[in-house]
Amino acid sequence: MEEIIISPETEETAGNAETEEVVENAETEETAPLLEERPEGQSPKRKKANFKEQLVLHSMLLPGVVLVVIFMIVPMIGLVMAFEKYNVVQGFFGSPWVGFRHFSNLFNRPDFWQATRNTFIIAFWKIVFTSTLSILLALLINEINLHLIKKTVQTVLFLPYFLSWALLGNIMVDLFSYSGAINYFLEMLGIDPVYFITSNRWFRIIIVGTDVWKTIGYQIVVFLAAITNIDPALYEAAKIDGANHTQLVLHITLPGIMSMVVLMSILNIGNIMNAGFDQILVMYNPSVYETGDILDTMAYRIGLLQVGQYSVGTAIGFFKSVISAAFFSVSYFIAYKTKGYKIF
Amino acid sequence: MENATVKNRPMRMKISGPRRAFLILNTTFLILFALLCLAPFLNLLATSLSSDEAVNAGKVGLIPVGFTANAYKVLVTKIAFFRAFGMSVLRVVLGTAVSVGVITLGAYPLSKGNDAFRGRMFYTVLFIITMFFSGGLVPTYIVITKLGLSDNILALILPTAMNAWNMVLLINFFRQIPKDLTEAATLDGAGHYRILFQIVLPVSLPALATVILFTGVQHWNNWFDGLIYMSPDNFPLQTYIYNMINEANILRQQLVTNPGDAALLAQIPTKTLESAQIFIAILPVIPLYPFAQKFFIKGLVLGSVKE
Amino acid sequence: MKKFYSAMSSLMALTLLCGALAGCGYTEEYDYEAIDPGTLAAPRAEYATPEEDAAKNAAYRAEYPTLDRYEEPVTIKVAAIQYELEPDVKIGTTPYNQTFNKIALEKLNIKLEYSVVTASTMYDQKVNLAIGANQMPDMFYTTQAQMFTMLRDQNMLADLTEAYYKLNDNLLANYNDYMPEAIKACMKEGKLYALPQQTNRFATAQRLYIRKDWLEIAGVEAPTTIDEMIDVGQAFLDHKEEIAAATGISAANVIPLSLHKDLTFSDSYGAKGMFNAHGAQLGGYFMGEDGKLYSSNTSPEAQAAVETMRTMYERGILDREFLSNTSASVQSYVSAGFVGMVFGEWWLPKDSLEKAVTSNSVNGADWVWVDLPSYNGQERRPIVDRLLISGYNLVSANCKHPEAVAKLCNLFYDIYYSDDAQERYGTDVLPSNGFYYQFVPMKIWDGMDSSVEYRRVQKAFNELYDNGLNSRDMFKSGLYEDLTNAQIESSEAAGEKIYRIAANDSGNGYFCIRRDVIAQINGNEKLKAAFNSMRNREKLLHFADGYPYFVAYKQKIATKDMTKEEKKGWGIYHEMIDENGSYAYVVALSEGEKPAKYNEFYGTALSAMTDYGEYITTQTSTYFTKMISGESAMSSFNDFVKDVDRNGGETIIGQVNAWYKAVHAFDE
Repeated sequence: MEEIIISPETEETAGNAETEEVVENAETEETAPLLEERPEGQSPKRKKANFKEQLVLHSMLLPGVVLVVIFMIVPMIGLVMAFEKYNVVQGFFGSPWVGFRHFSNLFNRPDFWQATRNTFIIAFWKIVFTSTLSILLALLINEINLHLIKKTVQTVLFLPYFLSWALLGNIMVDLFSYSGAINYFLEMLGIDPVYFITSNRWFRIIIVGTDVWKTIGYQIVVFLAAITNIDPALYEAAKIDGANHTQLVLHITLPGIMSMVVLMSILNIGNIMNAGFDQILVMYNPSVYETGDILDTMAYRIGLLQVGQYSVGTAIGFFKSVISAAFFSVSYFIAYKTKGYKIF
Repeated sequence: MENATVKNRPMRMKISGPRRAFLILNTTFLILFALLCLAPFLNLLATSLSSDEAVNAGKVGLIPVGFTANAYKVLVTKIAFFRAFGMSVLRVVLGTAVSVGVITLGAYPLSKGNDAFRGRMFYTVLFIITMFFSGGLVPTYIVITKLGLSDNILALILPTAMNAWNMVLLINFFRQIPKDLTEAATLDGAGHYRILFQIVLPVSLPALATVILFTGVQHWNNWFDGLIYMSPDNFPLQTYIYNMINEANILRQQLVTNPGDAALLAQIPTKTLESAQIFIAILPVIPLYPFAQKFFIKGLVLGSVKE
Repeated sequence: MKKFYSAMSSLMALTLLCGALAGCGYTEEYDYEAIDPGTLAAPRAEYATPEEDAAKNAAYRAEYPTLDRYEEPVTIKVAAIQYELEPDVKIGTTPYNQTFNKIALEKLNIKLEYSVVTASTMYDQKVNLAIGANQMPDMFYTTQAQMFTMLRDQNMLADLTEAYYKLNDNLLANYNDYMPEAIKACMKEGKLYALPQQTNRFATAQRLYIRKDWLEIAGVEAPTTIDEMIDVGQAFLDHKEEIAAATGISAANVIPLSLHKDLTFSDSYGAKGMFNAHGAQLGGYFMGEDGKLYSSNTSPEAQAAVETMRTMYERGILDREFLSNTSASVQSYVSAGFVGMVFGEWWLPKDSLEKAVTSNSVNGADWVWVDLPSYNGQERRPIVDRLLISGYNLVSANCKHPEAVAKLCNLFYDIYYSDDAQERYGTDVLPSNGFYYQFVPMKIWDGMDSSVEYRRVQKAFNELYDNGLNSRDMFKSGLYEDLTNAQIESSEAAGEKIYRIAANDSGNGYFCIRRDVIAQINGNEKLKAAFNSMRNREKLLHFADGYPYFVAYKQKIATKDMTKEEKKGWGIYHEMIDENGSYAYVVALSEGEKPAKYNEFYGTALSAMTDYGEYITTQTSTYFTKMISGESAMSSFNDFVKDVDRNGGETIIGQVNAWYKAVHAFDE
């Protein structure tokens, strides 16, 4: 960890790719191989690529880098607001510097920790349920031996993925409201109606449940695809060895889709702080802030709905970014160290 | 792919009793589950076709009560709705084209090794940072307005065009293309652009289709940015709908401060009209996605991590 | 890989380090720096209204003309909320293409440029965002007091003294006579930083609306105390089968009392009326016996209100599902005839009560309204703000022509509040040609107009009736007729005046007031005089909708026996025309005939409120909701008080008292 440090200055002048390259090259050569450590063995080291060819490769990245610099890196200057008592007249560079005051204020607010906890809990359960249920359902769907039904089921489950929370949120709130269809159904079964949307006991379950419902179809398709991709010869061989159906699933199908599961998990863990702003914004209400308010909605309420509180909103966003980057790095690191998986 | 599945499934094996029971149970369960997923949409359709009074009284389930197509008749005259619809279509088409173009170009050099492409590391870090950090709304708003993009469809397209998550997918797909293919072309003197467009892309269609699908769906579904950067006349569909639902409440508050505005009441859309608009907004994706799904399968599989 | 981590970690370390630097030692002070409103610079000519002294007024207006045209075109950047169009407005009208822009350019040489145009749901956020991005429009309207304070304190607003003196006589009189405090609240050290929107503070007064037919079925009287109110609710519950049978709804849908889910929600259908009845107002500050202001949220009165609601909830009187109610859902339950009691402002009859009355699926619905029930023998009175400013017209300090705001206000007033605008400005002032008052960037409201209107319309109706316009047969089928554009044109060519109400369904013409009725009115001088004593707007709204009902009502026809067209007038009649109408209460309060309790804190949010207010509001809502629904015991009110005090409540109340002292120091 200690040997190479890309100085933050490098990041800030990112627009100038050509000059950075020199610095990069020097470092790359000393410490290579890094990211591209090929588990399958060293590929023959190519001759030093000529300058022109390198230029062509850089030119391909130009549009992407320009967009990223303009729309993402430049606005990051605004992160200084998190450490200032920002006011418009003095701007980003002139507003009084308050250091960590916004953070320490936030850390002293009970509702901030509540939002942080909610963010984790909601995102965590979303990931767990979506992953396990989608694997399970993919396996079950794979067992259907009527092609048409299989196709239809798969298609219907995929449908909600294509709809936005702006639409679905409204539908869900109606559905789960006290006089909504779900309670109507429960009443028919002789169960007392439940305040799903306004009860702190139920709200997270509803949020997680509806999100799983919305995204699961997508993951099912992903895993079904992975199953399809398993070499049929493996099954044949196992059958000859006398494996029964359950054994086939456990020893061939599951391991066969493992790499996909890992990819999905790593991507998901990067989202551990994204508990679903869109969804919660349209579905929550003050009586469930206790269990439903997440960092994003809190930042939105404070930073945009309140006048002149830009700094606090930014501080919450920054806190969230740091935590999710840390989570992602750790999960990536573990996957890389233990199994040699990599995605970059 | 589909054929392969059909073949390798142990269909022709003698199906044992317990296995048969499992199959029947399993199929029934999944069909019921699928129906559960459809129910909200049926409810929506039923609401849009019911009378206002039945809806207010909460009497509508999966079947319309007091059947009337009134909401749709009113909807047909709503120019704003169709304009928003058109805006969304334009956004999806343009946005996906730009985004996929940028990502494809970027993924190609990044799919090379560190020694084949100097500076790869730098770009990787740059893009990874954007996956987690953002300056927030105010600075982004400044950038967009300073570029003169407010109320311009580009404000919805450019900021998200370079999506690092989607690029990761393409990078991994490109990496798995057999080296022989590209090396042979290099020997023939082909440049990187030619290799990308003539060799890499044609074999990457599934992955491209996947990224196109992701990006398209994202553009179709995003509503928050429309709210911020566009004027109401240029709202994309989802923004329009979000706004329609929430505006009813604001109109009511308006009445408190401006008591004379009783005429505003006439503008509050009824529940049935709301449902009709939501339902129409769902329609276009339905025929689209089974088609996309076909490509999607291959694209994702090959784009997955390697060991 | 390693490189990536070291890069990330060093980046983070650096940020943290930077943060630590120089940031130490910064502490926020929550005292209150007294703002001295001062006195405005005297006008250069003595002001008098035309009635007082015509000559003086002429001299004054020579110095401060209301609508003088700029010689060079002046460009002003403004913001507008793009509401949905009302039915009478030309389809396709937007803030950009509205005719107001054209008139402003022609008459004043002001070119309006719209830099923020957005839907109502996003307006506050977008203006906030634009200000944060240093792109504030030259002139804009905001309802947010905090925004005004922030901008004023950062010296971002222009002095509007000159603009103020240029306002027309009516607007000036409105400020001078009715709301000098509002102007004062927008002043700082002799400068005026906003033109506040005029509002009648009593218009927000809450009352209790009750189903008259339910009272009769249950055999109880309208309540005067909270205990009686609980009894009435219980009686509704006990008689729900009879109520269901009589009105045609299902017994399960009988809701004795319905409320908005958010207890801190202070607008329509909220719990505000309930808290007010107990002498509390969430977010309000009242004078304690010790001469200090206290927060109503943590007061015993609020606790009492919560306890009452808890009782009602427990018994099922308070809608068991109120926790999922938005205003829209309460409104729809009321409309569907499910709700027995609901709190609200004066305008509820036309908003939703009317829908229950006219609904085909509810039999015999009718309503009564009473003042808030009393608690513990206290006087029955609503709570209103000591000073209510519903919005601010602001001008940026960077704007070179701040006085343009007055010209635009005058121009709007001239068009909107006069009947002969068409003669002076041409047909561009017609909504059907693209004039929409909601899109005009300046918001002024002739706040005192409504009381006058109320009396004027009442008088006109009675005169019309007494002078022979009283045949029920004539109005049974309503006052609307559907005319095509061609018909309208030919009638107008023949010199007839056509009153367009709204565009018709097919889009090829308008619903207009029936020409035969107009002809009859014009044939009789007395009728004509009475009719023309009403303003144009009143003819279209009150007369066209309300008169058929008025005639039937005068003839003692029960509502349930009226025709559909007659029933349409129920809401407007019982709001604005009947002498016991719901608006009569606002008039009575305004004229001091009925008492009100005042929230002593007004104006803009203090810095402690900005920092802690959101937390406290959230906690109030959360704790109260739990106590009402029985999820936590009433004793948790003490935890709530402690929680709030510890997390900013004490800081806020300290600052509020400092504010009160400072404000009243300048009073003397």
